[in-house]
Amino acid sequence: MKKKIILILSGLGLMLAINSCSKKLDLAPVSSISDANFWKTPDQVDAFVAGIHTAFRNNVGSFQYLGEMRADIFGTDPGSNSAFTGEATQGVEKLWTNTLDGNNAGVSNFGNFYFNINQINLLIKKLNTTNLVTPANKNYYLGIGYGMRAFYYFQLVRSWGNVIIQTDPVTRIDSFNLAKPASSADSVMTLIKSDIDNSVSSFGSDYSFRNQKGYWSKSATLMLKANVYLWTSYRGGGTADATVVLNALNDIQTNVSGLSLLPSYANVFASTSRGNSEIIFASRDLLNEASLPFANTFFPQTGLIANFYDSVNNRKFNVAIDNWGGLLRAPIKIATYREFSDLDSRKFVSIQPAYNKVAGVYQIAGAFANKYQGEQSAGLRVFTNDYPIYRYADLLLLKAEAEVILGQDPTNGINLVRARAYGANYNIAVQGYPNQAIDASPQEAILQERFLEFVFEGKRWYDLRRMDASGKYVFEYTNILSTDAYKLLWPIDRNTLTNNSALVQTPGYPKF
Amino acid sequence: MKFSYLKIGILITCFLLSATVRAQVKKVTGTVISDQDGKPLVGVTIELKGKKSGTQTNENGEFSIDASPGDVLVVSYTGYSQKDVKVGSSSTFTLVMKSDVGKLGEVVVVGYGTQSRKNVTTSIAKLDKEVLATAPRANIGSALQGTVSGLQVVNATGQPGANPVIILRGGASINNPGAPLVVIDGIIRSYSDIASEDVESIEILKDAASTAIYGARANNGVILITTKHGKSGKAQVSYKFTQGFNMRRSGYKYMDARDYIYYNRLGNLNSGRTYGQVNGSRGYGLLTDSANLSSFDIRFYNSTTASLLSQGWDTVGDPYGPSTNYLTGGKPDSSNISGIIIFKNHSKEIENLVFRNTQTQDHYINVTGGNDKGRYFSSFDFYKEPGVIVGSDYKRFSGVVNGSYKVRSNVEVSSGVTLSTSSQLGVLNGAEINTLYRSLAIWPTFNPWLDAAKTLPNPGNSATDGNPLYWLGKTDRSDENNKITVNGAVKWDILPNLYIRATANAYMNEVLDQSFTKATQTYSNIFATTPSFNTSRPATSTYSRDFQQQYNAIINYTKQFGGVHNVSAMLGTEYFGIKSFGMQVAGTKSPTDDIPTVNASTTFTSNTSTDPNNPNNNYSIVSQYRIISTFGRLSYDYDQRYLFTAVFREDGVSSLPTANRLGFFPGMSAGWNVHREKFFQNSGIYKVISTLKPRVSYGVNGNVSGLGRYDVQGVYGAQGLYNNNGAFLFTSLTTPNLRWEKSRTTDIGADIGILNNRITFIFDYYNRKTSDLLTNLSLPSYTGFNTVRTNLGTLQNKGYEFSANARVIDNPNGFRLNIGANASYVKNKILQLPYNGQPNNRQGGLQVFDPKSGQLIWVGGLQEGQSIGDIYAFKQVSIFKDASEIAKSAGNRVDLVAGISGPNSNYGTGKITPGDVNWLDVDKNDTIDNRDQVKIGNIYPKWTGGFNANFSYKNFSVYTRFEFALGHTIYNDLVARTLGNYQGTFNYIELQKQAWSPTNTNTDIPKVYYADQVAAPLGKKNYTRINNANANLNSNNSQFYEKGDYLACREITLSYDFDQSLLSKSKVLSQARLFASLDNMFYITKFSGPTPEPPVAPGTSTITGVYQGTYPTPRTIVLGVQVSF
Repeated sequence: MKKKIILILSGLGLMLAINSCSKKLDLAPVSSISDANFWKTPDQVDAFVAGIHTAFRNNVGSFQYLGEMRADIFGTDPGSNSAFTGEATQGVEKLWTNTLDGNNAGVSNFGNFYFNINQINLLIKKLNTTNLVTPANKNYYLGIGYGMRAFYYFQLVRSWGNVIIQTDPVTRIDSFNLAKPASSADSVMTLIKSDIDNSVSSFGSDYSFRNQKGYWSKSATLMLKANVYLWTSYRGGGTADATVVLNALNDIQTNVSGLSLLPSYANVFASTSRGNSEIIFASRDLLNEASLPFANTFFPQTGLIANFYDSVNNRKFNVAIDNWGGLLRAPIKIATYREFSDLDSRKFVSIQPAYNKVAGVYQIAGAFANKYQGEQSAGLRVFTNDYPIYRYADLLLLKAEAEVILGQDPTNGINLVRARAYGANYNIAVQGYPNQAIDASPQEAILQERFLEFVFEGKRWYDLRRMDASGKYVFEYTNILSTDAYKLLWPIDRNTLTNNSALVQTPGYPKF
Repeated sequence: MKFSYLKIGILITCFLLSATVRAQVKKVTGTVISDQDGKPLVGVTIELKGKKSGTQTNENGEFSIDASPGDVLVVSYTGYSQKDVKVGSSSTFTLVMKSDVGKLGEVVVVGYGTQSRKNVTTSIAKLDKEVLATAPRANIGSALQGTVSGLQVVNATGQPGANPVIILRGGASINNPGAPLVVIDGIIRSYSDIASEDVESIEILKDAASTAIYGARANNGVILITTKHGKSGKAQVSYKFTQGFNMRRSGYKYMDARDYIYYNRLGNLNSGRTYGQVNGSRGYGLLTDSANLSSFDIRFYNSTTASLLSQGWDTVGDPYGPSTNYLTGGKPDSSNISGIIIFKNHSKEIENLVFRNTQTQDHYINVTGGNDKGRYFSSFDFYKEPGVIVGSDYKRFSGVVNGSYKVRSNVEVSSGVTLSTSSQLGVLNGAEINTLYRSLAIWPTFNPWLDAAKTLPNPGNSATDGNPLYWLGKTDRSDENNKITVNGAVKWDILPNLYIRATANAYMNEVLDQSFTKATQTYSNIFATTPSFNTSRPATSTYSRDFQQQYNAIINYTKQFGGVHNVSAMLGTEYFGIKSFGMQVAGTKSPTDDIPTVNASTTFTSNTSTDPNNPNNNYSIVSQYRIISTFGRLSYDYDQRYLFTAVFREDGVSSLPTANRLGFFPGMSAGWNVHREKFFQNSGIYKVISTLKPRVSYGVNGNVSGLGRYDVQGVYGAQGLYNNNGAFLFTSLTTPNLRWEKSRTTDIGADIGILNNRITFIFDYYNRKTSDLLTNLSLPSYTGFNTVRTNLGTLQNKGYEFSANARVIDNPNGFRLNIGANASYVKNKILQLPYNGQPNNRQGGLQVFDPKSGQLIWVGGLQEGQSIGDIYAFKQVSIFKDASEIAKSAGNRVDLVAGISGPNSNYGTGKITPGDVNWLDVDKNDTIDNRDQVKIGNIYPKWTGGFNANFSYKNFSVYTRFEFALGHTIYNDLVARTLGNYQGTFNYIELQKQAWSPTNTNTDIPKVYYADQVAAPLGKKNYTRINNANANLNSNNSQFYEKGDYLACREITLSYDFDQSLLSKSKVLSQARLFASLDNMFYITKFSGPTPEPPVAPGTSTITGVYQGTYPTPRTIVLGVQVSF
């Protein structure tokens, strides 16, 4: 009998062992934070706002691709299918040859912008439903959230036209019926404008910059506002929208002190002068934090560039200081380099030409981007330049453009930019507006000035698109024919179409 | 929480309660000997039928037991047939046990117990001992290759020490390939770093009815490894030494410098590259700066360089002709009036530095002994195998101590410790394709040495494009993997038929990796006017530790009722917990080369990884995982004729959401030993068929291994720094509804023995449906996340498995021949995918024209109702011989992929010219685009298996083992990459000589061009098509998809056992054996590369089907000796 009891007890003991242990299965992560444990402290909110700026920084490559790779800047020179250094373009050429399709969409998955849009949606929702941070921070952060979201949608609508609007945060997937169609470009534009208004009103009178202009600010929202209304002024908004542009830019000039053009164009981009007086908002790339994502594509291999010469400084490139360390997939057309006047300081700051020396004579071989030189670190060049999103020269030229629409005189802004560019060489009678030949058309003048000023800042394609809704300037300056007007928008990559059965390919591009 | 097994448990517990005791009469003694050699058997169990008393034979094979006349002694011993002896008047016995040789009598480990094959009703395979007997193994996983039906074992790499990829029955997952659960002596752990001589047996549980006992982790099968333990008897010491001679497997032949220069310059010329451009290229160009002149032995041939001819240089005509054809700066370049290039051939120099022949050494010693009370076993192994690719060395020390002791007559305590420390470095830079492609295809004009004495290696342009010895010398790497297991167990025989066994074990696995790179240069740094260095000097120390604890207790009851009802029941519970810790310190900018550790670094970067499970830079990270389980097994047979087994397991796992945390996994199986039926035995057929056991099983098991420890809770992960501010984002969705994957497997099989089991067959058909698969759903962009884990996948695997063994000739003192073979066939089909609104819920894939229906259809990717791994590509019909052929068959053709067209079309920037590929225009619309692709094959083998033969005559024996895989197709990216000149300056393989040329028009190799992938007009995309030189599976030129079918000769061993008579004269040796073995000698295959095994993505177990260069398994000649004292 005793044995029977032992048996029963041991059998039951086994069962009980488990029941007493089942609480042991509740384990919470230690090295990350679970959904249940976030949004509890002000620190977490601060870190989240820093987070959306890191995600913004991760999108810089897409901003650059969308903003100018399809325009008239990049390309291999006639007769060559590789960079002058011999590096193959490896498919990047489809951007500037404008041969994109669903296989090679240039920028896929909408630039991954929705990742940050979702984070921003979450931030806005949490800020509106909690009081974790001080009212001042809450308003500032809401200003950032609405402003940055509008910035993303403005990129999307200009690139793909109709796109999906998502303003609620996705934190879990409960239904797998996830197909969602795109909204019309008009309704996206409505959202952008309302987000801008929300951002402006959230910032209120707080015009301060944070993180050395590495954070989105009220001025950034106003710059975006100017961009957006300028875009719509060419698309039916007319002078009313152009007035909004002027007001927004005047608002910045009136309320933000210390904004000005730097005397030296080169210093605007140098990693040693972050957040300088010309910068309004830039994506920050500190050493050991981040570097420009497109550097590898834009800069040549060290060992290869060392075979060429720099005619301006009359020297051969050398591996110690010309250690670009990239794989030049996106060379600059020699023609682009030649667009600049030799007297224009922007020429050599922006573009580095490379020469062969044949029998003592320099012959140009090709060119590559020079604007972002990074810094030297332990024998390596690291591309730690901030990527400027908005700067004072942009403000001046946007203003000039609005003035043109409103029939006002754009001279002041244009000439401020030109005077800085030409520096000591500046002769208002020669280079000043309206004395250059191109100034006969104020629009063409501004278009060209923006090209020279903002090359490699992701603006050229949007400028060409903006100034004429029908694509006139795109057809004029790029290799896209007016019969291929569908190419004004970008194709959607095949995976993105597969993952959302309610999406359709951008009209004009092949569907298979 | 409610546990559904509670009732079962109580039932089983009650069932155990019946035991009666009777009086005894006299002492019976005896000796038990083997029928094989007449020697006494130690440790034979003798029990009285139907009573609780029992004993074991001592070290002389003697026993003594109290019994009454009429009692029946049940004598049983592993590997021998059970014997029933009736006690009559006699009180001394000499019992001869009949050895139960052959597959159908073996004992198999089934998880928390053992069973005789005779009673097994599920699908369990056991590895032949022969396989582990001879060859030294860096990794015992390789022993499973071709030896077990239903297992596909792929050498993902020939790097010594690496685990092969093991896939059971085609795998149970759509996009998270799972490996079988490995259980070694009850401990769930990795099978790497185990000495093969320490292994007693390896069993593979295949169907769900057998694996259900391991429940939640058993979806992909279970590999049970039992190591050697002490045996009672005289203490014995064994020593085994093996020496392996490893040789590289020959690969592709690359051109020598002459052909290299000729064909590359010809390709440049054909692509319209200018004279300046070709001469500005590395390797075949004629760069004149000091760095290139010092590193590349190629010059114009002229009066200054002509003298080099006397120094071993040679000349080749330049396809570009004399430079007078090319005006530079308005005048001809006087340096190459001749149109001849002078060069020195450095072909194969890098290859010979990268590959080497090496020697494996394995010393193994063990000691075992014991008596009827206690037993012990101890072993030590030292194994060293330098890889045939320089730098990739493997080294291991391992030791085992275990023992058991009967502290009371019915209580046995056992414990054991195993230790191993190993170092597995792998090739430099980690990526093997850099060695297998870049190092081998490197410029043959590149001089790998800076000095004539060949002491200073030339770094070249980078770690992958230079002399690897330079980079090995600049890198200080070490790796240490320590594995420690400790276990202790108590077995208490409460009643003769009833015992409780409690086990505790711990497993610690720690990895310590260190690496440091000194200041480095490239060749252009070295030869610059002011030489410069990369002084970032990255130093990293990484430490990770998993500490795992398992506690289990089982209660086991075995009883026979009425002489015919045999019942065995087991119930157990287990706790499994693992705590992981990982850390890394990583710094840069040390001021010196002299300190390889991180303390000298001056810059430390914060973690910037957005994946919380894979941090980078500097970090420490902890995590935990637990499973708490109950399990049981009930076996019943009626007179060993009708067999029935049921198992269950209930697991609670911490990584699932609370509501879905418990999973219940049952399994049932039944079998019928037809040959034990009177009617069968009486029929004539019994003379032929000696064993016939049909069996059927059904069960459910699960898997959660694809799920991270905290994934379901959602993740806010660190994002590095933004302007010195710490950053967080919401990086992973919460998935509170996830649950177990469940596999339901039906298995129908039979064990058949013919001619007194001289020939045996084991056959299985299975149908496994895995539902609730933890499958990634690619999300629409607007959600802000790329994928979410769902339970929405269902995959079906169906297949057949056969294994056969035959003792063809069995002459005990003469010639013996055993043959074994196995084969398995598997077919996958996706039954369900997460809903995404697409037809068949397709993910990925391509749209092609289907000539049968005349419609566009979606193929490839993942689709419901289709198999996984289908390949589609552009079909090369031929190479255009000449312009007239183009005009005839492609006059109006538009090739949208390459951007070129036929003579009658204005499309694109280039033309289709002779030597280009004539693509199959599937839809006959004169346009070549995505739609013109056809099915090429599938990346997975359909049939896998192997066979072996064992001949012996007197003291000699020969063992051979072959393995095969059939039905897989491999995309040979390596060949396409070199012929297509994707890199632009590297060497071609010899095949390029067959390229189209005006004088060689009848060929299937396109004309030589520079960089196939570049845009028209110069690139033709004859190779890479839409892939821009990326190594993608689909949409390349059909010509470079090769059948992977192979037959591999894994082992041929000749061994000689010294005569017992000779050994006894030595008075020391009890056994001695000499052997020689040839391992992995050859593959019989049509695949053109060195290894036809399905290519695997490095570091994963995902078969990709894309061959980019795999570290070839070396061919090895082994010599060895084994002695016992």
